[in-house]
Amino acid sequence: MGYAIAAYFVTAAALVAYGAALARENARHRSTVVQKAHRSSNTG
Amino acid sequence: MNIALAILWKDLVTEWRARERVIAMLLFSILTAVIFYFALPDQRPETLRTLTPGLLWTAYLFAAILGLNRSFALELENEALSGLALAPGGRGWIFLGKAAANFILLSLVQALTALAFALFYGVDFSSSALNLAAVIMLATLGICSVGTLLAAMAVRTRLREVLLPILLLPALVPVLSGAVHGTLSVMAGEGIPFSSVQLLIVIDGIYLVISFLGFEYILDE
Amino acid sequence: MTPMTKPFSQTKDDSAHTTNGGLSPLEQQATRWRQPFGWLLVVITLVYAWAVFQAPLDHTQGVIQKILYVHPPLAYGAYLGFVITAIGGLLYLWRGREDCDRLAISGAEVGVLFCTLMLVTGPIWARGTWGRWWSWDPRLTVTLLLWFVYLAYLLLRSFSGPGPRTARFAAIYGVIGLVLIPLNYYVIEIFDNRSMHPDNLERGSLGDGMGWPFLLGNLCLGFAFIYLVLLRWEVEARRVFQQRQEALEEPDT
Repeated sequence: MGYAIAAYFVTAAALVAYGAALARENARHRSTVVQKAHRSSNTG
Repeated sequence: MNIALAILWKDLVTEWRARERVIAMLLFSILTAVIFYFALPDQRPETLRTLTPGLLWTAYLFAAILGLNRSFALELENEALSGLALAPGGRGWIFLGKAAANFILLSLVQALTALAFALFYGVDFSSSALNLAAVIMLATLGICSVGTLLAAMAVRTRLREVLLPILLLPALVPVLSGAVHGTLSVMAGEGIPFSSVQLLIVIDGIYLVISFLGFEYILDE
Repeated sequence: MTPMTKPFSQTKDDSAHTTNGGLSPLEQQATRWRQPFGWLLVVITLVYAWAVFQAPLDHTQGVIQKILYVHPPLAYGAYLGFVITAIGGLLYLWRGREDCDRLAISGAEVGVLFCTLMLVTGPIWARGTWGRWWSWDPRLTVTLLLWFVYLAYLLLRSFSGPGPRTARFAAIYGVIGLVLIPLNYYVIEIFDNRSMHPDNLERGSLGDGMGWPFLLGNLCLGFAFIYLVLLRWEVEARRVFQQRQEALEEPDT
């Protein structure tokens, strides 16, 4: 019982953690690009 | 074709003048044989004899990595890699010249290492010398083809010497497997097993083609 | 979606690229597909969890047999990732398309993750049924070797920095890795044919009521795989674009 739960738990945790890390990095890149676009449109 | 021969000749002459790589590889592989002796569970002749094929090939692989790592070192120091890239004809021929030089140097080291193993471990290769040479030659062809390609890559990354074994060893597992099985039955006096020869020839073919074509993109600068 | 200052256009002109965060047309397509995939994934995961929960117990193995619904799908994901890496690399070499190189990175990274999880869930199952964590079972051995190959691939990429040279090196190594899959199976076939894995796990050997949870497992992890590859692809594209933007701005400051 414990073994099966451990297998599912490890898999789910790893996939979610990886996905979350990627989503966070993606959001960060998006926001910097948007900021730059704003900055350049304000100054230029 | 000419360029392959020219590069082979250049590498051999350089090596003959300096004799650094071969001596380093040879000392290293003989030292490995000595180290294995101390690492074994017992030193009875039977134990030594059954373990010899595996140990021999481990020593060969490590010596090959040591030598391959220096294969492009000279070109790197003189910044001659981009010069090589400009050489006329396909870059695949440059690869063939380099690989052939590595093959000859490694074969020399392997023959002498086999003698050292025969001496230290009390194994008699004399009756099966020709068969053994055939197995070693087939496997070394595979090692040198993919090894030369990966050495040309590794030498231009940040961690050079460290990266080559990590890249190369997983690719050499099939070669090692075929070579050890072949060596085992040759040493048992059973002749070369067909399965080993078949496997080694298939691997050699695949690795030679990939390396010949892939070298085009490795040297490109 | 990010607010865009200019409408999306398919032109290859630089300004169009800038407004889209540096994504190539193919990558923009991938980004648009990602969100529906995500929602589908959430729904399927719920159904999958319920299916695994209610799936019948195996007569001999008991609860632990339920690892079946996660272990093989992870394996398919891993192999798929490595195939994507090789194809992406080849397309990069052949057509010089940078977005394919970025796809190759995504395939390798997500593939290594799936492969790692397979190498974790496998021994857990083995411990429960065969009694030991590790056995040099042929399929296990081959997968372990592949895992090393693609870790080496990622290491090669990180050790030689960004740029076309790294992309070319990685592409060639990816092809060697793909060739090694059948080669290793061939070696195992010749020298070491004592597999403990059932040959036809996918069909015949499944008991009553185990078929559709298994199918759902494949669907769920398959969608998770696609979603993660698409997300990783987008991240890589944006990261490269941002690096280039910074490199462009550097001389001014």
